[in-house]
Amino acid sequence: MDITLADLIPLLPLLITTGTVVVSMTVIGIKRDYGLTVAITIAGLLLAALSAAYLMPSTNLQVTPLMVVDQYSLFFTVVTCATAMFIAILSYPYLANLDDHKEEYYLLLTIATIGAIVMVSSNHFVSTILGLETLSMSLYGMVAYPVHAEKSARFSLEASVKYLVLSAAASGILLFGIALVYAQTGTLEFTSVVNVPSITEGLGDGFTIAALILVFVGIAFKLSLAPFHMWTPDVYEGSPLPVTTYLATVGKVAMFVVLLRFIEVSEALAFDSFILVISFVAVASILAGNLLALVQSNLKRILAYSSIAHMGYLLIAIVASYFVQGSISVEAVTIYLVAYVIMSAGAFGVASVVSSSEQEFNRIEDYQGLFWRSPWLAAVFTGMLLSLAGIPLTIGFIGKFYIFFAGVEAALWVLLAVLIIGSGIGLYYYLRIVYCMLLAADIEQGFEVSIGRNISSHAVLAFLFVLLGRPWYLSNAIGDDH
Amino acid sequence: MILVWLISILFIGGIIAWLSERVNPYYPRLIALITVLLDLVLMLSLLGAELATGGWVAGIDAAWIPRFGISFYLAADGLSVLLLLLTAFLGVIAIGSAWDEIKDRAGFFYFNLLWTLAGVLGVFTALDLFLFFFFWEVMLIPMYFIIAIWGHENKNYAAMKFFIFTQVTGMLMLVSILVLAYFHYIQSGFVSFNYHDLLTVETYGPLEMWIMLGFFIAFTTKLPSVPFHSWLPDAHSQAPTAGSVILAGILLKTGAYGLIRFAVPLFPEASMTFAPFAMTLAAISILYCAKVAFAQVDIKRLIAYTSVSHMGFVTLGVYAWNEQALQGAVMTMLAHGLSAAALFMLAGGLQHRIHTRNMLDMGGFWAKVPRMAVVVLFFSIAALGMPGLGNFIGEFLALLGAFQANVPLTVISAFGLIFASVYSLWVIQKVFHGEFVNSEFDDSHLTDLTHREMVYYAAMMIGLIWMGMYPQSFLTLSQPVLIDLISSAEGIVTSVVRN
Amino acid sequence: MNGPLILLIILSLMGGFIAVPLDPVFGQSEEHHVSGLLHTFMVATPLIGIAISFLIFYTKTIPVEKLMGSSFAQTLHKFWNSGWGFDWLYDRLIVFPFLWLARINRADVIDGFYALVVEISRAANGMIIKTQTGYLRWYALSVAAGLMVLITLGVLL
Repeated sequence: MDITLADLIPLLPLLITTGTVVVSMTVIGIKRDYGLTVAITIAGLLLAALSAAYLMPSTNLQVTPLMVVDQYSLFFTVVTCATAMFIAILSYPYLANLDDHKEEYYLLLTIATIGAIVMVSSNHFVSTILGLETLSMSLYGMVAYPVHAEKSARFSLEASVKYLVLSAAASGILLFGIALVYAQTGTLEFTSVVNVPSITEGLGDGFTIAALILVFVGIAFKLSLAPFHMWTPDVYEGSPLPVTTYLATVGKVAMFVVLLRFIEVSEALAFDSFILVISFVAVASILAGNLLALVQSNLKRILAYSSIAHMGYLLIAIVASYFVQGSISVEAVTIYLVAYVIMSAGAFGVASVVSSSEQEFNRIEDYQGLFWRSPWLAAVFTGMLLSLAGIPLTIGFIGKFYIFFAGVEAALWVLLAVLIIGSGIGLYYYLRIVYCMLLAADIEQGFEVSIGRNISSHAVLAFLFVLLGRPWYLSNAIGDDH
Repeated sequence: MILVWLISILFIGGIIAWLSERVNPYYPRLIALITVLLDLVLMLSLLGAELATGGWVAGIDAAWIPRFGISFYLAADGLSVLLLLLTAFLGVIAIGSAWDEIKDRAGFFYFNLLWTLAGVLGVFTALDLFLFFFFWEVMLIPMYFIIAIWGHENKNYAAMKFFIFTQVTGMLMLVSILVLAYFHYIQSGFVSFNYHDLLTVETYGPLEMWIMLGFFIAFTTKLPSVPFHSWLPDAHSQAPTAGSVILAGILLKTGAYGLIRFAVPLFPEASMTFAPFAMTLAAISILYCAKVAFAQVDIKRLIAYTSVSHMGFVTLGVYAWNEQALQGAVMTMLAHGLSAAALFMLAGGLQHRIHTRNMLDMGGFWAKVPRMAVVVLFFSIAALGMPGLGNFIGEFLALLGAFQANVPLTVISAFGLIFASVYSLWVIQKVFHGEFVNSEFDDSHLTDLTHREMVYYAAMMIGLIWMGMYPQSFLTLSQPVLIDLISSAEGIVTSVVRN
Repeated sequence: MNGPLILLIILSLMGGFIAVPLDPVFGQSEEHHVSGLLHTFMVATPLIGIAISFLIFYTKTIPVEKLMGSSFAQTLHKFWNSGWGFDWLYDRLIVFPFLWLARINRADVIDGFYALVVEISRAANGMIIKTQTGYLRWYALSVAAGLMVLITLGVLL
C-alpha cells in the first residue's frame, strides 16, 4: 500500500508530537537549555492539540490497519495533548531547581504522549500494545526522575520499581487475553467476539469470556480498578507531583478510551457474566476507593484513592451502554473523563504550584488556612475538590449527572445505589480538605505562595478553573449526534 | 424577568459585599442590608391581581441545556410569593442578627449569606426540575461555609453532617428526577424537566412509590422529619446566629415547599397510598422531638428539636391533602419561620452575651434583662400555639384538616401542643426565673436588648400578631394555588382509577 | 364590701330558677330518668354534711382532736388534703414517665443510628487499609488473586 502525503494528514497530531521529540532531542544534544526545551515541548504539544482540533470536524478514516482517526479519537487527542502541555507548564517551575539533568524529563513526557495518542486512536491490539508500552516505559522513567535528589529519591525509585514490576505483569495478562481473543476471532483488530465469522472455529463461550476478562484485567490494572488498585497510592505518593498528575490524567484517559472502544466493538457485554464481572469491579472500586481515602491525611494518597472510585463510576456508564439506545453512555464516559482530567489536573496542579522537587507539600495540614493566605489558590482547590465530590456548579456534577442519566435509562439500580453511597462517603474526605483550608492560618509551617515565580502555572490553574465552571461547552462539542 | 433580577441582585450583591471589605470592614453588612431590602421592595411589586386568581406571574422560560430539554424556567404563584417575602424579610433579620456578632472576615460572611438567600429564592421559583435541583444544591455550599467558618466549638462535625445529609438525600432526589424525565421521554418522545410536562407523566405501581420516596426523603431531610432530623440539632447549635435564623426560618421551609409543590402533585397516587405512613412519621416527629427537646440542656439544641416538632404539623397537613390542612401547613411555615428565627436570635444573643448555651448555668435573668425576658416569653408562647398569634392559626388549621383525613393520628398529634407548653415554659422558668447565679460564666456583658435589636423583634412580633389576627391576608394568596394543586392531583387519581 | 358577696349568695341559692336561653345552643336535652333512691341520696348528702360539720365545729359535740386521733383518720386527712391524691397520680402516670423518657433519651437514639453508620465506615476503612501494606509481593499476589476471582465469577457463574 502506497502512502501519499494526503494519507498522512490525519496523523498530523502524532507526527507533530514525534517531530517535537526529535527537535528537542537535537537541541538538547547541541546545548542544554532548560527554558528552550520546555518551550519546544509546550509549542509542539500545543500545535498537536490544535491540529487535532482542526481535523476533528471533518476526519473519519482508518489510517493503516492499526489506527482509526475519527471524531472520538481526535477529541481525546486534543484532551491528551492539552493535558500534557499543561503538565509541562506545571513541571517547569517544579523541576527548575532539580540538581540534575532536567531536560530529558520533557522528552519522556512527549514520548509518553505519543503513546497516549496511539492508544486513543487504536482499534487494533497491536497499536494498543505499542501505545501502552510507549506510555508505560516513559512513565517508569518519569516516576523515578528525581532519583538523585536527596530528599525524595528513595520513594521515587521505589514507586518506579513497583510500577514497573506490576505493570509488566499486567501487560502479560493483557497479552495472554489478546492471544485468546485472537484464537476466537482470528484477527487482532477490534471486532465482535459474538458474531464470529464461520471460517474460524472459535473456542466456545467459556474461553471467550475468560479471554475478555484477561483483557479487562490487564486494562483494569492500569486504570487502578479494584482489586488491582493497590499500587496506585504508593506510586502516586512516590512520584514527583507533575508525574503523578500525568499518571492520573493522561495515563487513565488513554487506557479508558481503549477500554470503551474495545468493549463497544467487541460487543463483550452481550455476555451476562461479563457484565457481572464489570459490575463487580465497579462496585468494588467505588467502595474500596472511597473507604480507603476516608481518614487518609496525605493529599496524593487521597487523590489516588479517589481516582480508584472515579474509575468505578465510569464503569457504570460502560455497563449502561449495553442497555441504552443511542450515544448517551459514550457521551457520559467522554464528559466524565474530561471532567476527571480537569479536576484531577487542577487539584494536583495546586499542589504542584506550591511544591518543588526539593520539597513537596502533600499533607492536608500544609494547606491549613489557605483560604486566608491565598484565597485564589484556595478557591481553585475548593472548586476542584467540590467538583470531584460532584457538587453542582462544577463540571464534576455534569459528569455525574450524565452517569446518573445513563444509569437510570439502563435501570442499573444497584450500581446507582452504590454510586450514591460512594459519593456520600467521598463528601467526607473532600470536605475535610476544604475545612482544613478554612481554618485559621498556621503561619509557621506554611509555604510561600508567590505568583510571580511561576505565573504560567497559575495561568494553567486559572484556565482549568474556568473550564471547571463552564461545562456547557462540552455538550456542544460532543452532544450533537443524539 | 423580575425573578431573575431578584436572584441576580443577591448574587451580585454578595460579590460586591465581599469585595467591599477591602475598602472598609463595615461596608459588607451595609451592602448586604441594602441588597436584601432592595429585593424585598422589588418583591412587593409581584403582589397583584393575578396572584389572587391562582396564576403564575413573572414567568421566564429560556433554553438552558437543550441537550436534555432543560430550561431556565422561573415563575411565581401565590405560594411562592409568600415564601419569597418570608425569605427576604428573614434575610433582613438575619443580617441584623449578624450586625455586631460577625466581625471576622465579614465580607465573605455576607457573601455566603446572600448566596444562600439567592439559592433559596431560586428553589421557591424554579419550575424546571433540573433548575430546582441546581438551586437546591447551590444554597448548601454557602451554608456549609457559614457553619464551618463562623460556627462554634464543634463546627466541623456539624457542618459536615449538614452537608452529607442534604447532599446524599439530594442525590436520591436527582435519581428520581431523572427517572421521571426518562419516563417523560418514553411517553412523549422528548426529554423534559419542565414541571408542567412532568405533571403529565404517568407512573405506576412500585416504581412510582420508589421515585416518590426519592423526593420524599430529600424533602423530609430538609424539613426535617424523624428519622432524618439528626443533622439539625448539631447544625443549629453550632451555627452562628444568622446561620440559625436562615436555617430555621427559611431553609427548612424549602423542604415543606418541595412536598407541597413536587412530592405530592407529581405522584398523587403513590402519595395517597403513602399518606398514612407520612402522617405517622409526622405524629412521631411532633411528639418524639418535643420530648427530646424537653431533655436538652443546650438551649439552641432545644429550640432545634422544637423546630422538628413544629414542622411535623406541616407534614401532617400536607399529607392530609385538603384545603384546610394545606393552608395550615403554609401558615405554620410562615409563622414558624418568624417564631423560630426569633427564638434562635434570642438564644444566639444570650450566647453572645454570656458565652454559654448551657441552661443549667442560667437562671434568674429576668431581673437582669427584663426586656429580653419579655421578648422570649412572647415568642415562646407564640411557639406553643397561643391563640391570636400566627402559629396557632397554622397548627389549628393543620389539625382541623388532618382530622378529616385521619382521626387517630390527629388526636395523637394534638398532644404536641401540650408538650410544646411544657418545654416552652420550662425554658422560661430555667433561664429567667429563680435566683441569679453567675458562678459559671462572666456576666459583665449580660446587658439587655438594644434598641436596634428591639426593632427586629418588634417587626417579627407584628408579623406574628398579624398572622394570628388577620390570617386571611395570607390565606388569600395561597388559597387559589392550593385548590389548584388539590384538584389537579385528584383529577389524576380519579382518571387513573377510572381507567 | 359585703354587698357583692351577699349578691353571690343569693345567686348561688336562687340562680337555678333563672332560665338561661341555652336550648338553641345545646338542643333539646333528653329526659333523664333517675331513680327515687338516688334522688334522695343526692338531696341527703349535703344535708348530712351540714349536720356533721355543725356537730364538729359549732357545738363541738365531736371533738376534733379525738377524731384525728386514729391513724386511719390521719391518712384520710392527708389523702383529702392532697386533693384525693390526684397530683400523686399525675406524677406517677404522666410526669415521672415523661421525665424518665426524657432522661434516658437525652442524646436522641435516632442519632445513634447515624453514628453507627459512621462507625461502620471507619471500621471498614480500618480493615481495608490493612491491605495497603506497601509490599510488592503482596500487591502482585492481590493482582493474581483478583484475576482468579474474576475468572471464577465470569466463567463459572
